[in-house]
Formats: sequence, structure tokens, C-alpha cells
Amino acid sequence: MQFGGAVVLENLSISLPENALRCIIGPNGCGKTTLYNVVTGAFAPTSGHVFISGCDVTGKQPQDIARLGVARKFQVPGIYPELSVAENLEVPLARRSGNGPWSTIRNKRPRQLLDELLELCGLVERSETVVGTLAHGEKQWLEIAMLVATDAQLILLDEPTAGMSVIEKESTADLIRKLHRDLGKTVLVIEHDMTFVQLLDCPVVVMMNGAILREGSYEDVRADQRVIDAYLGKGIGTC
Amino acid sequence: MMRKSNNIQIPTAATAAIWLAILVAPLFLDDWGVSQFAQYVTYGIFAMSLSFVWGHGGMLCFGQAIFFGIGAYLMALTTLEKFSWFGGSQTVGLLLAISGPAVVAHLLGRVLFGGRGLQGAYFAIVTLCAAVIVEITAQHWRFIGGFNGLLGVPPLTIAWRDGVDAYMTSIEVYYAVFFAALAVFAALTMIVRSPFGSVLAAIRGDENRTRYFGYDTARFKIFAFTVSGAIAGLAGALFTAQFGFVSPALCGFALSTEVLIWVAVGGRGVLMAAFLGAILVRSVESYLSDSLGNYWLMALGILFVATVVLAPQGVFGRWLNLPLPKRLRPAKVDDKSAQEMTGMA
Repeated sequence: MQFGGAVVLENLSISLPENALRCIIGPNGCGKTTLYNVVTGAFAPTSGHVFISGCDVTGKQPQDIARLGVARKFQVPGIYPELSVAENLEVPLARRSGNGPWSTIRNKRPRQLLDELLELCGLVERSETVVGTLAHGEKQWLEIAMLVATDAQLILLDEPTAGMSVIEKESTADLIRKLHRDLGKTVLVIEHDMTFVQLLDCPVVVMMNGAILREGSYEDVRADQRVIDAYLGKGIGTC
Repeated sequence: MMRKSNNIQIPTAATAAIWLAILVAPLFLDDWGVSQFAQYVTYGIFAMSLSFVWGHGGMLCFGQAIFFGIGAYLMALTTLEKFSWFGGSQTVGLLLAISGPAVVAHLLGRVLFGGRGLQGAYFAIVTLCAAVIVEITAQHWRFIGGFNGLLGVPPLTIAWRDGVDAYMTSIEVYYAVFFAALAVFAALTMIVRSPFGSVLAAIRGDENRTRYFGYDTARFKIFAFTVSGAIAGLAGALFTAQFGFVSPALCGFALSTEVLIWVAVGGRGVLMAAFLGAILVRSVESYLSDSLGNYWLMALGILFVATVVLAPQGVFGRWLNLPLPKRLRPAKVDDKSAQEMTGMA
């Protein structure tokens, strides 16, 4: 992936088996979010391919990729602050009955689904609350529930714990494990926070200068001298 | 808990009460007042069409009069037998006045929202220019009467009566317009309270994010724009049958901004509020323009600025904002308040 003269992702190959849970870490500007942008169709890559369930989605529109079962959480919560919690959840839910305007007008869904999602993000009592007034952590959980509402198989989370307290981070880790273990989702998490990565207890991919530096368990990665250098800026150039 | 549920009832009760008041209004008005009020209700229909596309869909349309004007012209041309093959049928006129603007809105929507799509101020400016272009075109088109427009458009008739009796009395016109307004309100309310309404509100809030939920947002915007065009066209048709004429000004820039002011003053995010905004501004206008003359426009400007600054939800928006649809309200809370009530009893 190249922007003008800047090559942001280069020789990067990553594959995710079904029902995997992976964490991507790496210093600022190493291309983590750009990787999501390429996978979800925000940008078409300059060269290379993206496959989802064996289907080549390179250069497709975001909505077309989303329909193949890819849901993405944005770094700044991608929720609708003016709407209530229930309406926020209804937006992704409504697409289950069809893509077009008519199907969403006629849409009749069982109430149960909405209740389950409210339960998942812990906002059962606050379904009528305007989302802009929720705490930051609650917004993040709501957005994760919205991703589940799409029924996507692949869930991409971009720094889900940014700005959270320690207790909130633990709840978030529980929530992500629930997506992976109970709901059988394939989850990819971008994260900065090493303690959170440790909490997730999953294989870790370290990115550096738009390429993969190292893959392995949390302990392996932590002990790797190159990873330590990358984070502390020794040896290898900064990115 | 109970207090909360009482609050929820106010907008619903107020909305019902207002429709009832409009229903019985002719009892308290003389013949002239009834036909005057019927015109305001017609403007109210027009206002709802803009509230739907702007307040709910977030598309600030500065050319809403294009659709109103096309509806008015199609109605006038049909009933004046300019389209000779329809034999001046009013029913055909109404149908054309609804479907014609819908088609135009659909095509315009495709151009404006297709591809990367126009947003915000760019959309407003392009629709404004479109209104100016349509108005100038109407002024120079001989077939539709050019600068002078078309005069002598027949008033609304009742199909099963003959001769002069066929023309509706002012009370009958009033109720024809009333039921049209009620039907438009019911239809739009159903649409905005369906899951479609949630998706439309999501597109208004953050269109790009909504794409990542798998929605082709342009399709939703074009759909809303088309519905809005159809309703504005209906209002235009009812207008021309009441006034008996059409002129290029009906599809122009001035009327487009006027309807924007009605809707902003009433409350753009709530259909009923926008509807009342039109009635309020038009009533105050007819009252004040007698005493203030041209200064009325300045008063209207001040009213507009004051509402935007002091009450962004409009004069009526807060009071008429209906509660969330039942499917989105927690069933459990109702149980609890029921329990509380039985406990208290």
C-alpha cells in the first residue's frame, strides 16, 4: 500500500484461520490501521490481494466487503451519538433482513436479538439513553455489540481499550473472549497496551515499518530483542 | 419510573390533539378562513416533505420547490387539458403530480448521491442552483405559459356530482386537504419509525460509518429523496387547484427558502413540528404583513435567526418528538412500572 511516495504496507502477508483470535501490535505509524483500511475497502491496495473466505475482495467498496461478513470497530467509537442505544443496535441489525430500503421498512425482527445484544454490552437498562451521554467505555462496548449485530464472521477491532480504565479493560478483554469463544467469531485486535494484550492471551503479530516483524505468543514476542528495539527505537529506524 | 412514562405520553397526546383541533377547526372559521386554513395545511404537507429529507435524512435541500412546482404544473397542465389525451382528469393530474416529481427527484438523487456523492453545503448549493435553473426554464417555456404561468386551473371536483355542483365547497376542499395531510403524516411517520428510519438517521449522523455496516447509503438517500419529491408534488397539485394558477415562482429559489424557514422554525427533526411550523409562519405572516408591510420579511428573518440560535429543535420540536417505537423500548421497564403500580394499589 502506497500513498504518493510513502510506502505504508510492504511485503505484508497475514492470514487468519476461522475462529482465530489475534492481536496486532506495533509502534505508531507502522500501518496497523492502514491494514484495516485495505481489508475493509477504505482504500484499494496499490498492489497485492485481500481474500475473505476465499473470495477476492481487493478494491471492492466498504459496503460490499461488509456484506461478506466483515465488521470493523473504529479507533474513535463509530457509534451514532444522537441516537439511542436501541437505535444504534438496530442499524446493523436491520441489514440482516436485506440490503435495500424496502426490506428495512418492512423489517420485522424478533425482539429477542436486540435484548441479547443489550445484554452483551451491558446496557439493558439504558436502551433508550442517547448514546452521546454514555461513558467512553460504554460507547466502545456498544460498538462491539453493533459489530456482533451485523452477524459478521470476521471482527476487526482498532484499539478497543483506548482511553479506558484498568477495570474497563478487563471487562473489554472478557467481552472479546466471549466473541471468540462463545460466539465463534474470528477476531483481530489492534492494540497498543501490552497489559491488555497479555489479558487477551492470544497469538500476537508485531508490525514494524509496514511489515510483520514477528509472530508468536505474548511471552515469545516480549522476549524478542528486535521487538524491544522497535518499541524503544534502537537499531532499526523509527517509523 | 412512572414520571418518565408520563413524559413519554405528552408528545403522542399533543400530536393527536393537534390533528383533532385541525379536524374541527372549520367549526370556528368563516368561509374565507376555512379556505385560508386549507392553504396553510397544504403548505404543511410541503413542509413535511422537507422535514423528511432534511430533518430525518440530513440532506439540506435548497430546491424543494422544484418538486412542488413540477407537481403544480403537471396538475395544471392535465386539468387544463394541455395533455389532451387525459381529457382533463383530475385523478390523472394528481397521479402525474405525485409520480412526475418523484421521477425527477429520483434522477436528481442519482446524479447527486451517486459515486462519491455530494454532502452538506455542496448538496445545498447544487440544489439551490437547480431551483434557479428550473425557475428560469419555466419562465421561458411557452407550452407551460412562460413568464405568466397558467391561469384558470379548475378547482377540485367530486367525481360523482355533475355540472357546477361537481366543484367542491370550501369545506369539502378543506377536508380533502386535511385527509391528504393526515395520510402523508401517517405514511412518513410509519417510514421514519420503521428500521429504515434508524438507518436514515444513521446516514445523517455518519454516512461513512454506515457503509461499513454493509449499507449502500446512496440508495437510501435516493429513496428518501424520491418519497420527499412525490409528497412535495402532491402539495403543489393541491395548491394549484386551490389557487387556480401556477407560475414559475412556484418552482423557484424563493419558495424553496421559505419552506426551509417554516421547517426550521417548527422543528425539522419532527414531522408534526415542521407541519405546524408552516401553519404558524403562514398565519403570522398573513396577520403581520397587513400591519408591517414589507418589514414583515425582516420580522421573519429575525424569527428564523432567533429559532436557530435559541431553539435548534424548533418551536415545537421538543414537544412533539414521539417516543421510540415500541420494538425499541425495553419490555422489562413496562413490567416493572406495572409491578410498581400494582404494588402501590
